[in-house]
Amino acid sequence: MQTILCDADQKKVEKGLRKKYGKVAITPEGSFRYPTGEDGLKGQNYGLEILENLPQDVLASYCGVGNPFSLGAVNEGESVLDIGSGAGVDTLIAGMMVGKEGWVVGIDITPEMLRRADENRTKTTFANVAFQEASGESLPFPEACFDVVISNGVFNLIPDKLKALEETFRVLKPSGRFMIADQVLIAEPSDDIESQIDNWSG
Amino acid sequence: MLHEAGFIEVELVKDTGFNSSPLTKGVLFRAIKPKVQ
Repeated sequence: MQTILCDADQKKVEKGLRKKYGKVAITPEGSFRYPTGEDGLKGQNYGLEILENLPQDVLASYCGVGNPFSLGAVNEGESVLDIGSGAGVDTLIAGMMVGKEGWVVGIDITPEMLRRADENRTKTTFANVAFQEASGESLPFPEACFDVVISNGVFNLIPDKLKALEETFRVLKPSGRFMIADQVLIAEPSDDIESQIDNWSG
Repeated sequence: MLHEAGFIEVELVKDTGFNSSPLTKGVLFRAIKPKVQ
């Protein structure tokens, strides 16, 4: 769904999301209607090799809505962008998959999430992973620099989805793959912006 | 909307079973940027 919001409502949405995800950065437990942490990863079949190679603290911060890696391989040496990387669990998993010759960037708009992602990275040995503050609607990267773009539960939160998809398209290399887990509407939402924030952010 | 952005081979692969609200459901999509534009 493409949502057209006035500036005031867009700021309200962004403020609501930053507030919610500021709390989620501490722990996602109890903030969502679906399993989070290690239970969430197991529920989405992330695989034993992944679970065994990340510290418990890192696994505990997972709050994805699906497994984008189930959509296709991420290969050694590739470049990967994670849009809305949150606490960085998928970003670090991508770092594991691309190996030392590859590189991965996670972007997020929530400073608390970026801090948690950096903390999580320091608990691993993945020097090929970086996090930076940026919005999916304005990606601070040149054209055609990523082999793969992943995202997990984030595009539904972005007000200008077409702009974010066009940006994703721009930064992907030719034949690049976009692999996304997300929420889609199955009924009309309320006009009330607070209800929309609840629906968007779970 | 993925087609509108230029993607090809757009595919809604499956539901994830993780739904954030009664009005939404979790899904998996994939899409490709064409080799030649």
